Amino acid sequence: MVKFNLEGASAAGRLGKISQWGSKSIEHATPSCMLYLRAGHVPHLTWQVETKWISHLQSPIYQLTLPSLVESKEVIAKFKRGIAAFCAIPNGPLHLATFDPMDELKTGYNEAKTIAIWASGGKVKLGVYEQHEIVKSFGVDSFETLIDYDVPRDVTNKRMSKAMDRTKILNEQTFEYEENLATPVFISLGGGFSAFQRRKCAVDNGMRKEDDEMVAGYSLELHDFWDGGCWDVEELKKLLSETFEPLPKQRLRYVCGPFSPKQVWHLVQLGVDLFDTSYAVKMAEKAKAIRLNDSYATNGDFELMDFTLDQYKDDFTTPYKECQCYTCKNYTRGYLHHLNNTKELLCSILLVIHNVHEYERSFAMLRERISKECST
Amino acid sequence: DESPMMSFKLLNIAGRARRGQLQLPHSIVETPVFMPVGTQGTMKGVLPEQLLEMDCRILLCNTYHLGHRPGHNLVKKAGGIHKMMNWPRSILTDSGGFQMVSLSKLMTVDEEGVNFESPHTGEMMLLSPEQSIHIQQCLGADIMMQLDHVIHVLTTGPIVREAMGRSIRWLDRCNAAHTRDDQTLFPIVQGGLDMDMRKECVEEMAKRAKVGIAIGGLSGGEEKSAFWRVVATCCEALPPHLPRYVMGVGHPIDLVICSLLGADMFDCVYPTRTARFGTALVRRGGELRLNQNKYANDFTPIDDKCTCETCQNYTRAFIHAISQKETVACHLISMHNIKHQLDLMRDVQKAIASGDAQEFLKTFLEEQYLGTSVPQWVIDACDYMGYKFSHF
Ligand SMILES: [Zn+2]
Ligand SMILES: [Zn+2]
Repeated sequence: MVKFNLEGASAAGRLGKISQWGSKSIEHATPSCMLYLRAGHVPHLTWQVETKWISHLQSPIYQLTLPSLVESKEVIAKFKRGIAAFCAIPNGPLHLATFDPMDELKTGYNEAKTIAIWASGGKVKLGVYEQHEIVKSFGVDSFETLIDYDVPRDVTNKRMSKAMDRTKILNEQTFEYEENLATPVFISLGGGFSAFQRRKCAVDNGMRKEDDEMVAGYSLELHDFWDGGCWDVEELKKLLSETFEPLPKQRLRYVCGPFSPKQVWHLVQLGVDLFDTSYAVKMAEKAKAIRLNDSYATNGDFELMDFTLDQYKDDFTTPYKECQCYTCKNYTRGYLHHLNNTKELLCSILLVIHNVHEYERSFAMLRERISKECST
Repeated sequence: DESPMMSFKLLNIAGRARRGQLQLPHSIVETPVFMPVGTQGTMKGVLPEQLLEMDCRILLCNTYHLGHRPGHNLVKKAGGIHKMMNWPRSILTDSGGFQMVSLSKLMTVDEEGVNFESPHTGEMMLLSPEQSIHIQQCLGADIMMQLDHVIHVLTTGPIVREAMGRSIRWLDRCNAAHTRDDQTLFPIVQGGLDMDMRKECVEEMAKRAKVGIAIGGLSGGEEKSAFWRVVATCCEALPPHLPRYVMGVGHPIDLVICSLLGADMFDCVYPTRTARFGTALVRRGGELRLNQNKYANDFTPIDDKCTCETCQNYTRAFIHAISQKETVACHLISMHNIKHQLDLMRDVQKAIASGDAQEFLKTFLEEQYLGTSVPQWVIDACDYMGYKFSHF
């Protein structure tokens, strides 16, 4: 089970605490984010670098993403010691996300009993049985139900109801397998841009009894809103309230995706508890550093420092003098510009370290604000 | 004279091999030493702290690359190369000449310096000995290299002597231009594959050397039989108080043979470059090409005797699975490969200190060539040094 205690809520968002995740005990306050992993790693960091040079504000929940691992499933099964040992992941809760939030989800590939994900060798069809085999041999602490995500804004009614039917069947099948597996599962909730379908999906799939220990929480499907996609706060507000309104309030609400600090700020207000750090990595790979404004908790404002710009070429000051991360304490803007300019691998390493630190700090700021509002 | 912060102390001698300590402004370097190459002012995805953990004492950075990007004036503005790259220990920079010759399509040398076409702007530019020293003083490495007249190692005829003479005159100009007392300047012995000319050059260069000296013009495609003889000849002719740096040498067998011949310092991009293509260095068999399918289900570490972070935590199967897909694969192999080279040199030092170089060499060759035959040039070099192996 995933033990989540909702401690309070204000206009700024919900405040909660996670105390158990599958077999692992943990102290983890929400709103927060899981640590995004690709190939079982924070991209560009070996685990020795990750553990020594990122100091997390609270002990991390790891978000494994399946596309970079699915082609190794036979090897990992043969290895027998689980995904954490295979990828050298430190001890901690492991969630298996179906999608990689750094990748695009293509449209037109889902089928009746399988959904499509994209690995390095191309499309992989994933059904409930395959997913369960992977969950078992990986030895993860949670995963999420499969969902037909392919419902873009211009989807036909016919395709939409097909997607809803498939998602419902995938959900039911998952809980049938669950009887023997006992790995907590997040119920995936979709419905695209339709408020009606969002609510229907929540009611169809999310109403399992509140004491059902198999349910870890809800996983909100928002890939059409991923960074760079459409972002209309009023529309989102409608979709999320239709989703959450019929559901038990006590359950953890998670959304996978590269959301900017501002988008996180909105989504937290709309009742989401848990995110992932893929945005921090995405920006690092574009040679950009994230910096939250001091007023972030009240207005969601942040800035990006773009090291592809020549203005940083001869600027040998620290990226951010208030930042306590390894990168800001040891390197300069000019050096980061140089590393990007010469396509050196160290550039991504240093920016991932800074960005993950800063991204996690945004949640601490949000928690502080909500907790203040709850106590007054 | 050089300030006392730079000196070389011989600790042990075993046959022709030497173990020593090179005191530099930023660290004491134990020799024989392998210097990893951080071309652009960074070590290919390895943090400086990780190199410190391996007890790496000295790196090499390339003057040509840093002079182009970010530019030597900017490195100076950043507070020097050590500060810019967050590396507290010693650094060596080359003169920039060699890269100009290898990267530029148009290149001529006259008494003034090296004229070359910038591969970046297309302009014709001049690198004079004074300019090379100026750039290297802006970078601020512990060891600078003189600008020399580089010719292809297989060149013969009067040009070899001309290049040698010019390199000596350029050394004098470098010395005259050298003003910082926290940097030392190494001359470079030239003379192609001609042993008499090498000896002549050694005599002239050694007179002018202060802390150390380099043996240049090798690793350019010459026969191995010629390569080791030049190293042997130079080492024999050089006075013992100067550490001898053989430029561009980095394959494990070359490191071992040259160390036993009496060389003290080496550099090569090989361990990090080969890591990018998924190749790990191992004592047993030399190389492990982790991209090969036979490693897909191999749940052992790269080297079960290795104490590096990679071998302590990761299997060959995992690295195989992510190789060429994730930069982490490259970092993991680079870490191991650099440690492999540093450990190898520490083993050479131990063998020299304890006087059992023959025993070390025997084990090393057995492991490195695992059932395949040891190359003739290695056998010849061993013969020359008086190491006899009945079964090779
Ligand atoms: Zn920072
Ligand atoms: Zn190793």
